[in-house]
Amino acid sequence: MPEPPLSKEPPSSQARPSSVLPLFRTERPGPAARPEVVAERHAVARADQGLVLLTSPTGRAAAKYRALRHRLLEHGDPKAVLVTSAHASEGTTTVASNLALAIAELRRYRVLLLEANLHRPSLAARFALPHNQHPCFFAQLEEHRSTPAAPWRVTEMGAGDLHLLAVGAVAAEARRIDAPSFAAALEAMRAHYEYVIVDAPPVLTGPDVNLLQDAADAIVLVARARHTRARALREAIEQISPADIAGVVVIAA
Amino acid sequence: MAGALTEGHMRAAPVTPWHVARRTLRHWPVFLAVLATGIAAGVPVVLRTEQVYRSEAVLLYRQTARVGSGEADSSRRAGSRLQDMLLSQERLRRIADEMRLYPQHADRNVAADEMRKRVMLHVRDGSTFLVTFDAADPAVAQAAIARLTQTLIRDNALQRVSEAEETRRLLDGEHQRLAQEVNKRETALTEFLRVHPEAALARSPAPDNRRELDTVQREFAGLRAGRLRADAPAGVTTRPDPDLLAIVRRAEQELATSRLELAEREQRLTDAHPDLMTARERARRAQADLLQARELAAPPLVIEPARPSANGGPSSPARYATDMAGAEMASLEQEITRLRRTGTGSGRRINRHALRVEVELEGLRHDVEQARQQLASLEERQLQAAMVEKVAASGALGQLALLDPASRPGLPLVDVRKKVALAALTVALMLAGGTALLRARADDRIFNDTDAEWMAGQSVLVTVPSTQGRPRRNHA
Repeated sequence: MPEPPLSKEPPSSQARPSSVLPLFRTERPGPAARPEVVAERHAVARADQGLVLLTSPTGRAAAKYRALRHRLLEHGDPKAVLVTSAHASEGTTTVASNLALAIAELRRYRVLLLEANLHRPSLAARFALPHNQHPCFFAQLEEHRSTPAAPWRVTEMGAGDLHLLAVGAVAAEARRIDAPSFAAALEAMRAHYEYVIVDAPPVLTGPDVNLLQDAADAIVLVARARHTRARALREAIEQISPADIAGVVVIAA
Repeated sequence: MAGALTEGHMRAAPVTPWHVARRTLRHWPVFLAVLATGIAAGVPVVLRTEQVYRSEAVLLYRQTARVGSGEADSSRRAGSRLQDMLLSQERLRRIADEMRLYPQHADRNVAADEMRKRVMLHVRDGSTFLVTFDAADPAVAQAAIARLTQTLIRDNALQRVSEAEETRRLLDGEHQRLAQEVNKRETALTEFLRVHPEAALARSPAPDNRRELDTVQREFAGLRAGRLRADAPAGVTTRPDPDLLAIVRRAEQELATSRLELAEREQRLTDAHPDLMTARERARRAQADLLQARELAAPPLVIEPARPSANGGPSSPARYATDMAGAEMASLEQEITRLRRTGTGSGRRINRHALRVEVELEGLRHDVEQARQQLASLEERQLQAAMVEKVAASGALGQLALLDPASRPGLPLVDVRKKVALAALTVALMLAGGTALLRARADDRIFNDTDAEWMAGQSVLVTVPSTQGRPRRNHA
């Protein structure tokens, strides 16, 4: 059922005696308006070396990601986890992907790995998705502004319960995330997935994380040893405070 | 949003020294680089550091009586004198020039001062002196100390010769002065005796009354012996008179004393000297008295028994002679008594004029004797000075001798290079450690979970091993 367009007419004076015009819609969409999720199956032909849960599931690194999964359970079992870092190239995508794989390998929960980094999208390449042939999260986000009831198209990875919603090519002038749309999208995804792992952009390179953080249950910061500076990490923490930071994942050098 | 940030999230973990040390050790390449640089910079310094070698020589100082003072030269005083000689500016500058020491000092006086700092003289027991010299080259140290000791011994000998010559000249002048003094005083004595000849005779140890008494006693003893012989029975020898024997003994003593005096004066005085003449006269008179006394005391001859006279007694001429001898003996006894009385009372009648002359004569004699003694002492010292001068000039017997010649040192006195190397290594280590520490303080990169908790104030969920060598810049 398509989302009714925003009414530009002022409400009746009986209903709202105040002279202040309402700016927002108060009614929430009902269950019938909840969009569907359509998964497109995609076989992982060539996994990236960083996806240790796929390349070496018995390795030490994979065990660490499983431990990370348990740490988050101890931290209140956040359903929507935002993975970010202070600067780029610090392993955010790697941690988010492996964390999603670690949860998905349990086969008890449906997990969505959502890419929110519009500036440097890399999730598709990491999972070797065909270039610009996979459902693009940014495009669907724009689409759902006008058609909120449109189904969400995701990519189902392998035989697991991991769904992937990556970002395709985005024009530079359009690389701006809309917080309400993202929040609405995340809310819609919560209905279909037990866990949503968001691969967020770096904190200090733009305001995107601040726009996204309210929609997440917890934030995981990623730091790369010998690369991440403590001052940047502190600045990132200050910038996203008072968000619930679950902790820091350190990628050893 | 599930919750708010708690205070514990931002609370930094306490800093421990171990953590600081671990972070510092992470910068070991910097540490090694600075350490290697420090060592590389220290090696030339160590190689250019001069070692200190000490060469030693031992000098023996023979303690001899010094001409002039007569007291022994103590080791300490000799050490002070030798040190002054050894460290004289002229000597050091000459040796520094000869051996081309300290060429960096154009002013050779500065070179001599530099050398003086490295020359030492130690006074040791047994009248020996240890002379040392420090140099960077063992051969130079040995040569310098050999040259120093050689010049020191030579200059000391020259100084001794000079001192002996000076002493001899001084003693010669003194001898000349004393000889003139003795001559003047002897002239004064001769003149006095010429004016007062009785003074020389009056100094005879036997007074005139005593001599006269002896003469009378000898006559009396002779008469008594003759009478005894006349009265003695025929064939009987008489025993010697004890008085005569005493006279003989006194005459012998007088003769011995006079001869000793004569011998002593003959050694010192000329024949024209009045004292010598007086001594000769006294000896001659003592000899004559002794002969006379011996004649009187000679054992009586065996007298033929006299033929008795008609009346059984001596004949009339014999009787007469005996009577005459008895009368003469009585007269001599009176004379002896008078002379003895006169001799006893002569001390009371002192002739004032004779006494004054006697005192003046004694004063003159005392002056002459004193001058002669001074002259004799001076002649003795003059003889010593001449001997010392001769020995010193010959060089056969030096006061300073080389007991242990200069040796070439095999090991450095102080291993300066080792100390400098240790110091350089210490400085390099400190520099390297300090640089690594500063680098660790300036470097706030996160290396491990401890760093993340400490420096970022956040708990670490997990540390994941890296699956790629280097972070990829193209992907997040």
